[in-house]
Amino acid sequence: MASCLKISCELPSYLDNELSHSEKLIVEKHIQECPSCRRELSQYQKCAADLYEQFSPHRMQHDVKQYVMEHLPELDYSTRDVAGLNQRAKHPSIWRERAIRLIPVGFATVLVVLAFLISEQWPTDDAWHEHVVGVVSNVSGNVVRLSDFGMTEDTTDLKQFSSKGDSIRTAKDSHAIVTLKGGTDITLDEGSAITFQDNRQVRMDSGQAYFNVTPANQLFRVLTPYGDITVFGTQFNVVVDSESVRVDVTEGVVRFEKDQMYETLKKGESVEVRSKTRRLQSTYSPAVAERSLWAKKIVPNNLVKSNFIARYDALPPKTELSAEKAFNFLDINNIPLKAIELKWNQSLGSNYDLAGYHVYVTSFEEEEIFHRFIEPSEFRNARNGRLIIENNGKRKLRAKSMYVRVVPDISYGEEKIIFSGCKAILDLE
Amino acid sequence: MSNVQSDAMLVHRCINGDTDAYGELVTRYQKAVYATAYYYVGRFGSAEDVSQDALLAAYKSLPNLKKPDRFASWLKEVTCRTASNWLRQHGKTINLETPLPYKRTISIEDARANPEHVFRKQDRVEMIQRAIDTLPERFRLPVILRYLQELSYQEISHFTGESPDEVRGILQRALSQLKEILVEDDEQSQGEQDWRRV
Repeated sequence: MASCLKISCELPSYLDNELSHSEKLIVEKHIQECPSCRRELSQYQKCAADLYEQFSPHRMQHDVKQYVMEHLPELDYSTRDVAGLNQRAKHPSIWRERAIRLIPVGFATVLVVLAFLISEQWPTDDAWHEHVVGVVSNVSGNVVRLSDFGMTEDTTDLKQFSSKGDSIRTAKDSHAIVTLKGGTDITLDEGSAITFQDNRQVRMDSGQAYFNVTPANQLFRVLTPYGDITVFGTQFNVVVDSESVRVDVTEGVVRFEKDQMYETLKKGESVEVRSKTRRLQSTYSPAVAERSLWAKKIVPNNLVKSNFIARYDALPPKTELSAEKAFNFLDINNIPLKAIELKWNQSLGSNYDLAGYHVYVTSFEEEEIFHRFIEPSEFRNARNGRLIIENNGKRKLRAKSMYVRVVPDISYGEEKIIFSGCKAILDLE
Repeated sequence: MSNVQSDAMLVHRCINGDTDAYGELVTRYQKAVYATAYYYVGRFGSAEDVSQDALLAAYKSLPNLKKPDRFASWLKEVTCRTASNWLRQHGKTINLETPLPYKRTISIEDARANPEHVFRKQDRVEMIQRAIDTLPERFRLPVILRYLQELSYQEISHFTGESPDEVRGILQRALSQLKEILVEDDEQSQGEQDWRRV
C-alpha cells in the first residue's frame, strides 16, 4: 500500500487527469482503502471546483484569432537588429566595461604620476645647493643681507649663506668678505652694496669692493652702473660712486666694457669711467697697488671658507671642459686668426712621458674658433720652446678677442707642460 | 500537438509569408496568451485587448526570433512585455486599484486569520483571490493557466519553459497550499472541528 503522503501529493494531478495509467490505478485503489485520503480528495475536489468556478466568468469569451488574422501587421525585418541592440544594451562592449573597471587604476596612476612630477619639481637639497652662491666669511660692523623675496636680516652672521638674488650691504665703518662658490673672495668696504646673480656674476651698485677671482671655465662678470667688468681669474679693485666707476687691476687681465667700447687692463693699470665718458683710456699708475691695500688687511675666516668650499664645490662641475691652463683675452680686434703660438720654458726634447693636449680656441662670446689635439711628439719636436698651431677651423671668424684653453690628455703620458704664454698670429692680408 | 507541424516549422512558414501558419500558432497558444494577459491585467478587464496586441506584436517581430523551436516561451515573454507596457501606459488611470499579481503583501497567516468568516459568495471569491495571492510568484502563472483555461501540463510546460515534471510539482504544491487555506476556512465557517492531515 502506497504511503498516504505520496498519494496525497499526487491527488491534484489525479484530479487534473494528468497521471499515467498505472499511477492513476494506484491512486484509485488507495482511495478505496484509505478514508483520510478519500476525505482529502474530496477537499481537493472542492478546492479545484472553487477555482474553476472562480475563473469561469473570466475565461476567454471570444476567439481572438479572427481579430488577429485580420489585423496582421507587416513582418518587421528592419528590427532584426533590435535583438543585437538589446544584447549590446544588456552586455555593453567589453572594452567599455574594461575601461570603466580601469578608472580606479587610472586614477591611481594619475596620482602616482602627479606625485612623481611634484617630487621632481620639489626643491631638493641639491636644488637648494644650486641657489647657494656664497658664504659670508668675514664680517665686522653693521652688515645687512637682503633676500630675493624682500626679507631683510639686520645682522649678517658668519656662515650665513647668500643665495641667488640676495644683496649684501655694508654700513659705515663696516666691511665683509663674501666667498663665492669656486673660491672667489669679494671684500666689501664700508657703504657698499652688491647683489649676487650667481657665483660668476654680481652686480655692484655702490661702494668699494676688492675682487679676488679664482679662475674657472666660466667668465666672471661684475656689472656696474657705468659698464661691465669681465675677468677670467684675477685680482682687481672696483670703486663705484654716484658718478663714476674706477677699476684698479692688481693682478692678471681685466676687460672693461661700456656700451660698444671695451678696454683691456693689465696689472697696474686702471680705468675710470663716468656716465658721459666716450672713450675708454687705461692709465698705468703705481698708485693702483696702493689703492687696493685696504682689502689685504681683511682676510676671510679660513674655517668658514674651507667648510663652504668643501661642502659646495664638491658638487660636480657643470661644464664638461676643465682647462688646465687658460690664456685670457688675446685681443684680435676683428682680424681673422691665422694661428696661435704656445710657449713654454721646459726642454721637452727627450721627455717621452709627455701628455697630449687639446687646444680650444674660442671667441670672447664662447664661439669656437678651432679646436685641435696636439700630440706629445709635436711638443718634443718643437724648437725654442714654442709651437705654432694653425687655425684649421673658422678662419674667417672675426672676434674682438679670444681665449685659449689647453687641456691635457694623460693617456699619452703624465708629464705636463707648464705653458708660459700664448700669442695670436693674425691674418693681416 | 507534436504529431501535427512543429512550432518551428510554422514559424518558418510565417516568415516566408504564410499567414495561415500564424493562424495555426494563434489557435495553439491563444488560450495561454489570454491566461497570461489575464494574470497581469485581468483585474482591469483588458486581458483580451492585451492578448490581441501581444499576438500581433509577436507576429511583427517574428523575424527576430532566434530559436523558432522555443516559440512558445518566446511568445510568453512577448505577452509579459505587452502586458507590462499596457500597465505602464494605463498606470495613471488604474493606480487606485490593486491588480491581482501586484497584491503580494498578504501572508498565509493574514489570509487564514481573516476575521470575517465568509459565507457570502462574494466574500468567497475574494478569499480565493487572496489565497492565490499568497502563492509564490513562480506558482501563480501555472495555476492560472491551469484553472482559467484548463491547459494540460504539457501545454503549460511548453509555454512557461519549465519541464513537465516541474509543472506537475508546482501545481501539486500550489493546490495543496490553496486547499489548506480554503478548507480550513471552510471548516471553521461551518463550525466543524479542525481537521488535520496525518
